[in-house]
Amino acid sequence: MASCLSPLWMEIERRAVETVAVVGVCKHAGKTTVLGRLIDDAARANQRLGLVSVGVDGERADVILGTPKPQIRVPSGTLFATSIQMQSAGAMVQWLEPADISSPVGDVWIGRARSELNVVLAGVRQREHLLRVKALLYAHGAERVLIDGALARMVAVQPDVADAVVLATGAAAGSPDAVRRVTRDTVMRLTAPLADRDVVELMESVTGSGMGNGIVTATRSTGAQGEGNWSRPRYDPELSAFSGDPRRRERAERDVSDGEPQRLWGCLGAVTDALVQSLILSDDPVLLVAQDPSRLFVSLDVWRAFARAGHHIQVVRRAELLGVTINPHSPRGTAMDRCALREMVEGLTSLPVWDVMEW
Amino acid sequence: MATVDLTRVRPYGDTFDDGVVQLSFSLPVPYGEEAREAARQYVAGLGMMEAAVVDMKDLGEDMTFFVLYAKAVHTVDFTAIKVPKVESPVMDFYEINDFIREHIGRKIIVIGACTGTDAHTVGIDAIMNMKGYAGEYGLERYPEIDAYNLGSQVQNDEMVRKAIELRADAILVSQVVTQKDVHIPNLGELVDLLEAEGLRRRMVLICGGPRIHHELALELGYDAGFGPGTLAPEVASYVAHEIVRRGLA
Repeated sequence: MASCLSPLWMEIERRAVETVAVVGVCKHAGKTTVLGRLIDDAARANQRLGLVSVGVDGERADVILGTPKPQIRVPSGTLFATSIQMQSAGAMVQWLEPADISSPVGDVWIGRARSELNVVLAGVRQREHLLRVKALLYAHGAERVLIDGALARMVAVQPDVADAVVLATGAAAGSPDAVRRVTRDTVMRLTAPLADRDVVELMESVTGSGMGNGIVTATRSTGAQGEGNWSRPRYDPELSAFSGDPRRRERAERDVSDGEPQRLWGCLGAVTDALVQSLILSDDPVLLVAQDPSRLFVSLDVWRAFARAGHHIQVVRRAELLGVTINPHSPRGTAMDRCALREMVEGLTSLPVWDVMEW
Repeated sequence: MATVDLTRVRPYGDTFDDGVVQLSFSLPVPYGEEAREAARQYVAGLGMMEAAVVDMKDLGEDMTFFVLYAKAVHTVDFTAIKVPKVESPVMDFYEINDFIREHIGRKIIVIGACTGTDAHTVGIDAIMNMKGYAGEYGLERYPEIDAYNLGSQVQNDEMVRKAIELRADAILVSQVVTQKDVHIPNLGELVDLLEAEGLRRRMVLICGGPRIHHELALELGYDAGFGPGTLAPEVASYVAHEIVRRGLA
């Protein structure tokens, strides 16, 4: 019954991605609706899912507005990670293994649904938790893991956490203009261009493949003869967007004089507006490389100004964005015109756009 | 006396289980009989029965204030309610300092602030300031805690910078969450920044404020969330226990 599968699920299968994160531009963008659809698809495709949320999902009412939220109904055999205390109908769950995560709502365990039931996903809240839970879900037989994001938080898009990402946007983000802006910014962040292999190798030569924190700098000449080789990179693991003026490093780099040198800033931690603005006045073109899109905290205006000044922002790796889902409804009672919303989002990206209300 | 069915609880107004509630609100309409009818219809629209305006006042400028009684029909299952609470035992000032000396063996460093646009420091001051609140000293008074109150309207960048500079063990963020949730993305962004810097796992992250509770805190990526009326020992006990539990000492 392939025709019953959602185009999003077919895209996931076509790309053969294992772990998929559903993230939103804001709360109530439709993440849980997307998750619900993928759970149905998995059941049709006879696949055993593992589910985890980086916030609180499947709760009957939203924790902020008190408005009703979609329930998460899973077929028998589905694996999930949650706090035992939060899961009602606990008798219908086979609790397999503790995940060694404590929380104010109780300790997180890996459970398996003994029958079709509603689940609440809660207690997992940071990257380390996601990595641990993901490994446990696969170890217990999950064939694919879905991660439900929370609010506009981006931790789930880290490429060691998820292989691919679905972005949910919709009327809940505010006025049509606000929806357009936040969707455009998030798509731009999630699809930041990948750095060339030689740049990544250069960075890894001083940081190791795990990368960690700090800033890597190097220069290379550019000119009519093409690009030269990178200078020997310098690495300061203590340097970051938060450690004063990072340009103090740049003075040490001023020894390359042939042609117009391009300066590499491999910033392994957060890339903030302040950091980008401190580099924007550099006389030489800057190649600013972040580890992945979750480290980019650059507003679009600053990003554009940076690009106009002849500089580039790239990432070492990223989880592929599969497409964008739209939800014309907002829990505050406002709604956007579905067609207008779809047209607007389609104008922002060449990726597929799906209306969750059509599923 | 009727016995209470805790699976179907309704307000007690004049008599048991009558569902009567009192509501008060203002409407942007001029005072008069049309205003009274508008208020009555509005409450009926909320799903309540027998709405009656018992008092109304002209607020001027075409605004009217109302007090109504009405009967609510729906019930709440009290037996199904679960409110998450912090499980760490709450210690007193002396026990907390002893606990830190014994189990952590060094001073713990806590920074606190109202972040973003929020300028309501009353909550963070009650927890952090030396004089404390309601007879409990604030964290600044604890000999085993180095507490830094960064004040109000602290940007997330600055918060992360301070956390790195002071090597903070715990961050307390106070936010008055408004109905329009404007503070919610800001609370989430701090967590994302700490994750991006690889600092999240090394820190105990707490938020607090009048509309904060543990479920919201988890949604935001914080370890715990404390609501109104929280006193310093509750926060300090949680932080000290969490540092030991997670092996961050």
